[in-house]
Amino acid sequence: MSELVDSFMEKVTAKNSSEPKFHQAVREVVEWVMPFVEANPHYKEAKVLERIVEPERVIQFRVPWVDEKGEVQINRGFRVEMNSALGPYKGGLRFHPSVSLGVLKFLAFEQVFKNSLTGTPIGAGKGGSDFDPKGKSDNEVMAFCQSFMTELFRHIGPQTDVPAGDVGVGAREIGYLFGQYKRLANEFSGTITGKGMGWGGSLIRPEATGYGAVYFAQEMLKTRGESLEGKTVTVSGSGNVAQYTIEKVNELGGKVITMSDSDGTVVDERGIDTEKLAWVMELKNVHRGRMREYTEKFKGSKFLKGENPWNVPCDIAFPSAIENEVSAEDAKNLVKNGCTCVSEGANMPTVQGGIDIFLEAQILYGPGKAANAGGVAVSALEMAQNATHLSWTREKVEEELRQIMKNIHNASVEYGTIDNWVNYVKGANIAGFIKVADAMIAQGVV
Amino acid sequence: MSQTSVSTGFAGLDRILDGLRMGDNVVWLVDDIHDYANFVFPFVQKALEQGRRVVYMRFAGYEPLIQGEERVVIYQLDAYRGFESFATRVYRIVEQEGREAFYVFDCLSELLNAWATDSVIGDFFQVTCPFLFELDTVAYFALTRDSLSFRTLAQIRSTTQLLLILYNNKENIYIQPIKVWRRYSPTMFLPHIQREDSFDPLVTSYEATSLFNQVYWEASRQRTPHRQALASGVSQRHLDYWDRLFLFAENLGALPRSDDELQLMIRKLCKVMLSRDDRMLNLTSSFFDMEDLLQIKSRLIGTGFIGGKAVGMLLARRILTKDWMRRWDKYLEPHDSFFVGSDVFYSYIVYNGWWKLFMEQKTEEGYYSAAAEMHKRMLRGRFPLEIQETFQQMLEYYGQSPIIVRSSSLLEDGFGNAFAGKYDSVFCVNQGTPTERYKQFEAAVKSIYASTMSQDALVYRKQRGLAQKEEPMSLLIQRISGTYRGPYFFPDAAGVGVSYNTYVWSRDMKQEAGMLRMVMGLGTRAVDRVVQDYARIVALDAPLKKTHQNMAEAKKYSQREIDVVHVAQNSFETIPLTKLSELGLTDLLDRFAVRDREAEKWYKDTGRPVKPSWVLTFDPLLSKGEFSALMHKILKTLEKAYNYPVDVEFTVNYTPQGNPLINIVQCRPLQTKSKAQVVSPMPDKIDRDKIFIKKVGDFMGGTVAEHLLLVIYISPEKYSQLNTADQHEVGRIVGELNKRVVDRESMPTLLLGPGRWGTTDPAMGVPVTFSEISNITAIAEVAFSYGDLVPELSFGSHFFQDLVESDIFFMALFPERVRDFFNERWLKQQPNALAEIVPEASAFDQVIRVVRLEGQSLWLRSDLVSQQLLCHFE
Repeated sequence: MSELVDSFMEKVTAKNSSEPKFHQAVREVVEWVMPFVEANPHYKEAKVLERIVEPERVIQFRVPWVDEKGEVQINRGFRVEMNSALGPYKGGLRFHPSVSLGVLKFLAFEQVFKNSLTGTPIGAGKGGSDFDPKGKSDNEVMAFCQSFMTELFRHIGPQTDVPAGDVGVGAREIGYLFGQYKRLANEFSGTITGKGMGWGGSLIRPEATGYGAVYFAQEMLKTRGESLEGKTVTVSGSGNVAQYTIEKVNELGGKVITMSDSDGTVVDERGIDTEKLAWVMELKNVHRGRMREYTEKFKGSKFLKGENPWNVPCDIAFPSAIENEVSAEDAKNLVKNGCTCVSEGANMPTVQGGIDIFLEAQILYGPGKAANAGGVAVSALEMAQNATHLSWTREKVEEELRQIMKNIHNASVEYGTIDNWVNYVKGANIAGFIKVADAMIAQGVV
Repeated sequence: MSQTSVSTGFAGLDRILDGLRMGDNVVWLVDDIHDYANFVFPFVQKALEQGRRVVYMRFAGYEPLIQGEERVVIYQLDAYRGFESFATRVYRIVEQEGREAFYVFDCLSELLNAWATDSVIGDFFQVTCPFLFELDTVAYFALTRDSLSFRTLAQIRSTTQLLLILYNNKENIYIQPIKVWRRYSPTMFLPHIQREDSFDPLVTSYEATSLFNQVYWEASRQRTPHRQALASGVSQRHLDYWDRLFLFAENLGALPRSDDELQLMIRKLCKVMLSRDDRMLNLTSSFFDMEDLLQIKSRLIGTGFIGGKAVGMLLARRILTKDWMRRWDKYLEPHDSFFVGSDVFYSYIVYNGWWKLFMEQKTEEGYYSAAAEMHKRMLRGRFPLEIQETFQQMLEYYGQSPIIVRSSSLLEDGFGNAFAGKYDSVFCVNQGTPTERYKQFEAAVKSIYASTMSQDALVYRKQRGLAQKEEPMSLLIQRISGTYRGPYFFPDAAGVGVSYNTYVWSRDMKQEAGMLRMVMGLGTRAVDRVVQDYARIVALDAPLKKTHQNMAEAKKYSQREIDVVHVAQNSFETIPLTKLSELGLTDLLDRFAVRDREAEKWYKDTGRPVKPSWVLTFDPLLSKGEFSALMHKILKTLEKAYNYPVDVEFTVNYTPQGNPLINIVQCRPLQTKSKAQVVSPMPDKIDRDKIFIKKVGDFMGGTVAEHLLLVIYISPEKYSQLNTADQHEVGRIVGELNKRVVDRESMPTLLLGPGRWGTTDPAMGVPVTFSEISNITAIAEVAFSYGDLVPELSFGSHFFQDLVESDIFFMALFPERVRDFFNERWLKQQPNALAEIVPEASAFDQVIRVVRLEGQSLWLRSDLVSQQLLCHFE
């Protein structure tokens, strides 16, 4: 099988030289999918894999703007419209000096499977610019966003391509981009997601990823007849994902005993209850404080300077901080200390060696690709609300989100079950692939 | 004490005095040094005849008292190196010469030229004589009659065993013993006329009256104005030489004099009160006029130097106010500071009888152990009554205004000195009864004095080979600039300004424009660099520019707590910014902070009561431009006068009309940062094979000289070949290495790696958090090209604020540019210590190279002004 993968990758590499990130992303998917494609020849005959690695359209454009000193600056803008088999292209815009075509292709490719897995009618894309908002004034950021959208607007639309925010594109940038789009297109539509609550955005956006990861864990536990009730939970991070993970875990009866930031980890064996969480939320969202302050506020807790939470015994772990935060050693510790369920709220938080350990131990391991799809799901829900010119209630959005996470889980189970155990990594990869692949085949050679 | 009789060399005199005895200190009060010489020579001859060891302490400007006598051991002393050095050297000589040596000292009045105060001569005598007495020595001292105040003379009289006045009237020599310890005869204390070898008492009142009339008339006739200052009449003898010198200077200033004469006096006063350093002397004597110096003196408690910090503060103000074109007066808050002279520090030691311990502390063995004892004692000593009285008067002047007592040592804040921050500064909230306030103040003074003996300061001095160097401690007492607001007192804002921006993070910024680090409230947060609370960094050519990109980061990297004086509780406190909002100080917040609408919205969205929130960006202030332009002009004016980049500490308070009043509380030449023991200048020429890195520009952190002990290098080539997970792993290994480094003091480390340090995207550089590089001394971003990625360097922007607050040096290296030289080959040739330091990371030894610099002396040097950076082997 690896020969087939190697042979396929040779072609991809030859066609996309100097794009190592893209090669890596393709290989990771192909390694899981290839056996399935081999076993189902119609995918092979329709050359779905060969088509799926090729973007439907790539747009590259000049973004000139004038800085505050009156000097002309030129950046490069991109939109990679990767796949529209399931719906309008959907994916974030990234403003960061690292942005290049290769990087965006890699991100857009991953988006295909992630979006597909949610079961919502959205395709995949990614865009951005090598513009660095760091050190720029508000006016400069606005000037850039307006110039960027002046070109991009002709390629996007609520039924065509619906960008969202990503690295370097937050609420401010979304506002500027949407404003310019509205001005040029002369329409107020759901062309961009991540909008402000008062002007087309959706409720539950900040909560979505954290809640989603917990719902996913809840579904995984159900397969073993268990629930979160009474479970000891460790959470890493202290941002939005971590905060709303804890909120939902508390709601479902679990006890969260850790939070962390780049300085270290707080351990509170009594549990970070609603009241304590409210304090942390204010600390982090209003004051931008540090987690070590928690121990000053809540006696009996301790701070592990420079350490992550993965040495603290728990039943369930939610890595919710950053990429690669769970090393192979951490994974070993988690398993050794009795952790039976890991649900990833962060993007790719576990290194490959760690994933191997979880899979080998056959614990309930929900990879980020599936478990943190809540954010993407709410984007799709925002589009649905915009299309119908309605604003759903919190309850309605949350219920939809819960359903989407359940669907993702079920799809992963369908394709990942091996004997009595579910390999969610395999399941998520294949489920994501099949949905797109089937649609592509159905839509003919386009 | 031995009762062995010793001869003066005159049998007649021996008879009057009942001979000299071992342990005697003999002080001669003379009109002319030659008269003293006439008594020295026979004494020495007699001593030598008796096989005594004779030591001559030579320090005066006149002809030597003893010449052509090889058996006499002569020590050359330099009084201009200061009291402490002089007294210590004498102490060591006496210690070394041991028991029963005979001493001749040059005339002590000559020390006035160097020390300008006779109270210190009294102190010198008080510490030296008992030691000589203890060692059974016999010592001859002389003083010019009338040169010392009555107080000092009383101090000497009470210490010495013999005090003799020597008159020379109409070719006749008279001796009148004033004190002869434990010896008495009915005529001993009469004047005696010398007739060859015999000395006959003037037994008639006629003879005595004639002599004294003649002596005092002659003295007053000879007095020139200058001599008056040195040897004034009885009316001024209650004054120290110091005061008489300034009185004379005042008269000099009031009368029409040649500029040269006036200028000479100004320089002299600068030399005894402001600095010994030539460069600083030139500056002070060209900017201060006589009136300035007299004003400084009028606010000086005790005598001696006011110290480097006080000089810097005064000089900065003078430079600005002399620049009439700009009418700085309008913008400058006046000062009414007091100074405690350096001599008070020594008097405190002498008065409390700690000199011997002080001397012990200056030995190798006692350096730390005696210091610990000194430190303990200095916290609970007593001040002489007259000093207590002047302290009290000063406190009465300030009333209940909060004050700060700041260390101002001699070398602190001078050119090229890195003494900064090693000594304490203490806030005195200054509340309570006069007695309580006095106690609080005295405790502050003692704590600063004791800080000279702190472990930290001593290690620092020793590392730089300054353990024996004189560093008298003066004090600067300043009224805290600020306003009462509710229970608190604090300035609107404060900070540190540098005339050369040491942290330029963007290519379109100019270093020459300078920078500020600003905080609201007391400036302690800007000066002391508080962990994880941030001062606002202002590039003065782009004041609104920030390194962060959005509100979330602006909040993260902003000041959240402010330092204040809590008047009601008589304490110094740190309060959250929100407290100001609770106190209704919205006008103040609006001046410096922007409303945090996101936070307020968050409260609303989450169903919480909305609390008014602010982010301290200083944007409202900076957007108007006036303040940054003003600070830029101030810094540039000072830099021009110093002819060198400067850094200042300042406060800003706004008048009710909305005008800024700036208070420059400190100014000094920009320091070379170094943890090294001895810092040599950057070499002009150096062999290419001794260069590790050489470049121009693209660095942040100012002028440094660091002796590196460890180099960590992440190979761009190997790193770029790793998969994403392994690239993240490299970040974690760097974090482990950072832990092993422990701190910057003990293991100065240079960390080089590809692309942007601190990025979250491993393709752009090694993804580390700040806590994973927090112990590194200098970090380098090495530009590299790989595939379709040519990452720009970050110039530290990912954790720029943390770099600045932690004072980490930063450089960007472009190995492919001609102007950048980077000897990667050398690195590759060095043994890799990675596996030894972090064994679990050994699989990465092709990517990460850790070089221990044992046996190799690698220096990192930079010069802010010339923009040269050199990392080289010595």
